[in-house]
Amino acid sequence: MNSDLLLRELGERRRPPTDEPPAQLRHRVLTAALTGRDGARRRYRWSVPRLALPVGAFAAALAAVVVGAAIGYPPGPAAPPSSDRASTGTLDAGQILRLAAAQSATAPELTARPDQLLFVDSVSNGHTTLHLNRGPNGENTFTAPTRIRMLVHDWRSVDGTHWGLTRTRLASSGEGDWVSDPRPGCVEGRMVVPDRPGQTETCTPQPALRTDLPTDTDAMQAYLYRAVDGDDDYLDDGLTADQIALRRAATVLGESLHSPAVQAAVFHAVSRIPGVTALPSATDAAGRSGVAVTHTDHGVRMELIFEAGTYRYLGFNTIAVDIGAMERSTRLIIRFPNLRPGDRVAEEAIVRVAVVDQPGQLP
Amino acid sequence: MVAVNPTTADADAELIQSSWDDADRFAALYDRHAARLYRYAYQRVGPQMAEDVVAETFLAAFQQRRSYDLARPDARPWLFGILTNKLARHLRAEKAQYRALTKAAQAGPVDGPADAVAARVTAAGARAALAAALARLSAGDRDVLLLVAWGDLSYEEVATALRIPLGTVRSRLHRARRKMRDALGGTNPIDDYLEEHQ
Repeated sequence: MNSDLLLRELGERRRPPTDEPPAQLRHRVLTAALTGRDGARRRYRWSVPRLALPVGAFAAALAAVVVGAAIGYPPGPAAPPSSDRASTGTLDAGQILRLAAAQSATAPELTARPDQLLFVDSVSNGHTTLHLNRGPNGENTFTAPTRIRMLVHDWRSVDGTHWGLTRTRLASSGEGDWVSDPRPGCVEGRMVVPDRPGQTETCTPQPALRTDLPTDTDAMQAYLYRAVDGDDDYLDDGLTADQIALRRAATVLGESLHSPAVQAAVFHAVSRIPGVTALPSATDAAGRSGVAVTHTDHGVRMELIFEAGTYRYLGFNTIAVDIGAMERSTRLIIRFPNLRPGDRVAEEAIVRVAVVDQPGQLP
Repeated sequence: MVAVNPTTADADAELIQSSWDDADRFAALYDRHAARLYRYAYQRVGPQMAEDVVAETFLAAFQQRRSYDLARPDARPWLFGILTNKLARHLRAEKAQYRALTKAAQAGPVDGPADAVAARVTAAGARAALAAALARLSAGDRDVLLLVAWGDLSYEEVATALRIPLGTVRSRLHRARRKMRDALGGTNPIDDYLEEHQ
């Protein structure tokens, strides 16, 4: 069969159902052009926090999965309500956090040469939030609540100037299904564009071993409660300052896996967040059970999960508690027709961390 | 290849120039080109992302409109060039689509008269092989191949869109087509000869 003809035939099969682009696209484009902001590209604020993955990598990984195949995943069990429990009968939130800080203090700081890589093995779990769609009365509806569980192997350049690598696959897939995404290093302010020979773009090195994060509690508290920065404002729309601080705490924990001092500062700072409570039993994205420090507001419960007994940090969960409250909390008009109380909106768990010499090398 | 209508083409550069001071004029540029850009994006990354990519493309075009070369009457290559850059961010999504096509074409029982079944299985197998080969192409080769096959751009327009020499367009196309043919089970020497002597 003639390959050119077959390729055109494949193109015909992949054409949109009508020749006209969707009507809302015109409105979106022209509104964005005139206001300078593309509203529909907002990443939803309860999407998985950026756990030091290079920007866009995780979103792209999720998107790839959703487009490739719709994969159903049963919602997680509803965890017991926590808002009325100030303590678990054994340990309260402050105690758990102090133990976590103490555990960090005993851990050695990871050191590495600039040319090495920090390997991070993590599991992400959550509803994808690809699109805000328009309902019959003009309201935005949150759709594509596909629940997926991704395994992520991330090799991050220690100094940010060397090539790294992100490999992802669905937890339900096989070892042969890893998708590799090379991460170029940033050299003298330029980085190559992967798979696009000859092209470069401006960049700032993103060292895996960050040295700019606070290590004392007051400074960390100020860092977690800093003013909203431009890049984050859409993520934080409608969240309380305390919720934003907790979300940022999870992000900092993911970016400071090498530094027990930073981690300890985070745990101490979180203990100062008003309304944090203990939950005696919680499960992380990797299925490990432990204890949690939680905070519930605007219908959303956020959880920092710790291994029971050792108080090693395991991961961060965002769980729907009150769908109506979630819908009311944002400036956007949003409905969540498919979300139920107890649904795990986003989870991320750290499985292991190590220093290795080469991208792709497993410890 | 699609001929450029001089009246329309003149109007593109004029539209862009007039949109410098009157942003509303940009809407006419959208109306003229959105359908083809959307169709191409849809073919490459599917419905969900096509909207995002086209929106990003026009937003970037709007932001870059003052640097548009007004000597180029037809804005289509420029817009497809921006679109190609935006598509590059969705490489994995695109590859996942091709892999899904590969699997879809291989799956499922086929009923019917023996000769019709044979033809359908052959066609499905060929599509699967083609989709798999598309996923394996380098980004540069795939861009050129699909801008021609699905975007209906001429070689010259592809060169303008991707800012590469015409000779590079030809060599990438040649390589990509050869890989497509190889994927379908062997090369056709006559095709190769014609390709090299075009």
